[in-house]
Parts: sequence; C-alpha cells; structure tokens
Amino acid sequence: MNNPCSRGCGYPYRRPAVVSHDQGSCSRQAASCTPQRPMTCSQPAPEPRYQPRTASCSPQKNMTCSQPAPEPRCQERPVSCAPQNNCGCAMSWNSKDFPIAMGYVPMQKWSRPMNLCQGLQYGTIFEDLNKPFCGKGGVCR
Amino acid sequence: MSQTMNRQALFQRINEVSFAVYDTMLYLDTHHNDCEAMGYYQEMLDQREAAMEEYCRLYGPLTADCSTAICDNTWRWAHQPWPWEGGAC
Repeated sequence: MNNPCSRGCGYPYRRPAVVSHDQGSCSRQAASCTPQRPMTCSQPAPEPRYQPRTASCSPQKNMTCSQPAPEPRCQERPVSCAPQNNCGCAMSWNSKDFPIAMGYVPMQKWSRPMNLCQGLQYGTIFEDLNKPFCGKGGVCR
Repeated sequence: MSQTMNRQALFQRINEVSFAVYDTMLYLDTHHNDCEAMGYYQEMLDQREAAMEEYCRLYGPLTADCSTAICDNTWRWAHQPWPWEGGAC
C-alpha cells in the first residue's frame, strides 16, 4: 500500500504507465534506494501539494485527506473487486500529488492474556494481537 | 497440577504454558519496565517448571535438563523411548 490515500478514497493504486526519469515521478523511488544518504534538511522542501492530516483523523475513520485528490475517472472500486482483476477502473496517478507514506506501529499495552489453550491455538496470548487474516483487513475474531 | 491429567493432557498443558512464557518474553523485549507483565512471566515460568517436573516424575524427562529433577540416581533421559519407538507425544 504505497499510497496512504488510495484505500480510503477508494481509488486503487496504479503505477504510472510511463515513468519519466526527468520528472518528479521517480524522485521518491530514488530517495528510497539510497538509505545511507544523510537526511539533512538543508535543501528547501518542495512546495507541499497537500495539507498534512490532522491528529483528529483517526485510522478507523475514512481516511479522507484534505489534499486535492486527482480527478477520478471511475467510481469507487467495488469491494468484491480484487486488485488483480480488471474491474474497468483506470485512473491516472502521479506520485507528485501524494505525500510520502509514513509507517507507524503503536506500542502494545499490557492486558491480561487470554486462556492459554486459546492462546496456543491462535498463535498469541494477547487479544489485541489476535488478528487472523480474513481477506478483509485485520480484525479481531 | 491435577493428578488426574493423563500424559497427553499434561503434554498439552506444557505446550500451552511454554507458549505463554515465550509470548510474554516477546512482550517484555519491548516493555522493559512492565511489572505486571514480569509478574505474569514469572507465574507462567513457575507453572511450566511444575508441569515439567510432574511430567518427569510420571513419564520421564521431556528434556535432558529435567533428567535430574527426580533424585533416583538414574539418568532417566537415556531411558526414554526414541521418537520411532513411540516416544513422541
């Protein structure tokens, strides 16, 4: 999920059909390939093309970013439409229009573990971490 | 530990509590000062030790380091059946 907004906005992530190296579309990829490069802030930051999401925008809610989303050429992808299927939804996607993805992992908080027999069966004794793959996102049993 | 546990049930209990020990250990790896978690870890550790000792007393040692848990002047580890002899539960 490279594009943090693609899911919430219902627009499936699509790679640009043509990648031009002299345009900004490759800049993000180039930066991610050079982790040893010191991350100095001496260079002027590029003009932001989006407004950062506010703290009140919790992940549970629809992640509607305040940035101007690219003009969609299709309606929201149906839930049953798997990414590999051709659902007839095609839109132009330019990486310059989106922020760099930020990953985070919240710290687990201690809670009394579940029954040990269940814990062994589920692969974790912590209810918070019991998120079986159901093909529809991490959810508790 | 219940005296009525048969071999398979006791082995299952050891698996469960051993997993709890390990999972709590993973939690403590990232929560160094969580006293409640440390208390739970010690509780599970004690339960595991008691279950392993009982298994050793009733059916023989599951691991070599349990072999001397019962003082009968016998290296009981060597007397256990091999897996192909039905030693594995």
